[in-house]
Amino acid sequence: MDANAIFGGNALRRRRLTDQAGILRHSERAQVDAAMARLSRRLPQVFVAVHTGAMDELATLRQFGFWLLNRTTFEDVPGGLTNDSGIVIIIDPESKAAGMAFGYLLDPYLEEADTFECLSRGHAHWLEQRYAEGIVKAIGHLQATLCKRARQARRNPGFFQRKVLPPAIIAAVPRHVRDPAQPVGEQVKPTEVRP
Amino acid sequence: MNPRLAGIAAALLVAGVVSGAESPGLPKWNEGGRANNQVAAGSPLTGHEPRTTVDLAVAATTPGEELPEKFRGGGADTARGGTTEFGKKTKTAEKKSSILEKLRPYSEMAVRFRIPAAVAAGLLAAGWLAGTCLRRRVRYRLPVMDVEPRLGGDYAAGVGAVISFASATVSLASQRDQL
Repeated sequence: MDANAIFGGNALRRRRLTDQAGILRHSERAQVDAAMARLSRRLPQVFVAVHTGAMDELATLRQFGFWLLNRTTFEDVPGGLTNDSGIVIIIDPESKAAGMAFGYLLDPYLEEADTFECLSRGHAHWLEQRYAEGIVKAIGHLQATLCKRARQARRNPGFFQRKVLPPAIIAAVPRHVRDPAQPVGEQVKPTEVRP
Repeated sequence: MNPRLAGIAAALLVAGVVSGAESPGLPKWNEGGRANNQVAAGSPLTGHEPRTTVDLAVAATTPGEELPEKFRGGGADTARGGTTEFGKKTKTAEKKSSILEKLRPYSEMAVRFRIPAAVAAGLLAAGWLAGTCLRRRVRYRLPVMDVEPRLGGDYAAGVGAVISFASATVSLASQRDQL
């Protein structure tokens, strides 16, 4: 089902930390804000948003995360970053589930396994309903992962470039590598083999 | 209370209980003057050989004061060929002194190089501190790459993991992607 049909097609304006479920105390909100600011300081191109709230029965966390990043304008984003450099952590305390979604800038650098690692850091805390601590742990691990990826990308940008190449170009790469004179995408005539 | 005086008093008490009135060092009620004279004569402070129990007690509790050979413990045992506590202590002390002798060149070297070593350690600590501070201040940049929009999303189509935290008994891996 289309996410717009479930959540609505209108654009929203929200702060980065939206505690719709009311699970965070004032001091805990400050902790989460500080963790988000730390990440943005370390990685100035990236920001993190946290949303807590109950989902509709029809909705899934994945759809909601996708919809939230594409429809929402975050008011307090540092440096006027657009949503393609954003990461959203969604927590539903009623169905007891947490998910993550991220923008196009982070597509080459984050995989589903990485996001699982980040969420698993907060799992033990969320089990005991210590939501803020779990969020801070997850953001901390996310920051460490992205710093590591940035170092790797500086050393070997081609590795991450290949991850986001369109499939047609990816198919052509081995041939191109095999024969450097051969332009990418050009058909190679089969060679005649004589017995 | 002074520990030396306490030792003397304890020795006096023990001597009085064990030897009773026969001890030559114990002052009697009616012979206070004579006893005091004996103590004074046999005192280690006077340099004479100790003769009374009081003298022995004073000698035992006075640091740096050597007891005469006949009063040292284990004299008879040593004569019989047995190993005594005193002998063991002497051997241990000799061993220690030989080890100290072996280590003496190294200790002299350590004394000679203590200032350069302290400077080197300080420099290392300062370098480590500076490195830590720099690492904390470093900013990371991710190279921007062109990604084709997917699923009709203008900004994002990267969907990460979803986990459930409903049960503490079920493993985390099995709570992944259940939704």
